[in-house]
Amino acid sequence: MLPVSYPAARAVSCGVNARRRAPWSPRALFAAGEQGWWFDNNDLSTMLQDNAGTIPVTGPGQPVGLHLDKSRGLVVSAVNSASATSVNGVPIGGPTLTQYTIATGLVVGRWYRVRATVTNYSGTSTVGFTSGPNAFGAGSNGVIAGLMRSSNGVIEFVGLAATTTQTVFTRDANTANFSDISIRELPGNHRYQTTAASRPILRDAPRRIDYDQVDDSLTGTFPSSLGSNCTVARSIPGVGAQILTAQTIGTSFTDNVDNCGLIIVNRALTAAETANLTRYLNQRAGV
Amino acid sequence: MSQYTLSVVQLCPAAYRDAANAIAEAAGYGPGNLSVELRHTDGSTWWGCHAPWIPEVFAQATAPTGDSAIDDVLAQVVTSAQTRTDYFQHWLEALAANGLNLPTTEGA
Repeated sequence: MLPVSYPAARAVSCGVNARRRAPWSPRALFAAGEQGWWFDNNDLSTMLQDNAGTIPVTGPGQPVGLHLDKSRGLVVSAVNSASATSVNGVPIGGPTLTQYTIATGLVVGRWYRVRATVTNYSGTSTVGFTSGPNAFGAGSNGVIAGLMRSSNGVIEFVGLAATTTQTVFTRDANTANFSDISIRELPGNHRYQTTAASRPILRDAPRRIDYDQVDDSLTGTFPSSLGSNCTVARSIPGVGAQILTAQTIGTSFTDNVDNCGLIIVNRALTAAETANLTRYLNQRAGV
Repeated sequence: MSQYTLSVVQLCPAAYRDAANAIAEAAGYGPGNLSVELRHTDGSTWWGCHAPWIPEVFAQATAPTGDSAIDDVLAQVVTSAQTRTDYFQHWLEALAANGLNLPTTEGA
């Protein structure tokens, strides 16, 4: 019986699926290349605790220091911008960094997912990706522990290119080999907070970005001014959709309003888009 | 697993703000942590911030270092650390307890 009934059951199932519509996604608002933001608080893969993009947010109760924008689809580029994908770092016997150039064609202001594997590590000090005068500082040139390590293993982070060149380093009496070096663009207008005390917390019921109303905020930049006809849509916890029209936004935006989702588009929405967005935001707000 | 259960308000006289912020930045906490300007009842300017912390990390971060250049500055930072999630209320209580207010704009 099974060989006969199975194809029949599958045919019925396929017919149902063909008529079923995919749920509306805010991504549709950016289909024509519109600029803006789509921050999805339900997608943990878009949140990191530190602005250096090294510590994933794994659940509510953790700070959000880097929030990845999904308006461009959040698809990592297939192009590896690392011109050297392996480096053998040798000891130099002093405190000065020995730097090895691994990329020269990065685009300032764009975001990249960066990865390398460290093997054959020896010594007592750190090795890794240089920040500060090199590409990845995410707005701050302070200590970025996640970009370096003092053992074998993987270094992985999301960083904002501040210069076109990136190096890896060894120092002191370190030896370390870097392999599988990968620097791939992660398109989007991602937002971040360089100051630890000013990072909001992810909370549940409903899932939301919770600013402390004291000093918390997240800021992101856009490739160009968004203009004077922007739509700013928030999912307000327990309240629902708040859609502001004809908003003027320049080349950056700072957010400090609790929300279960935030979408900015550099144009007015159609009635149908507004209806879909309202449903989406209400659902996220738990109303 | 450690969680950010500690609500921490830190307050500092203006004279120590730059040094305290530099210490925090050197420790990897980013620039300008003391970012909210405050007014003391005696007329002096203070600066403050609020952040949730993992208790164990906060204990490490605020332990004496043995370096007087750091410890003398941190001794000037007034801290209120409590296990609570009503952050803004905690902030207001800490300000009141230390004779501090947000500056008011003339004529506002």
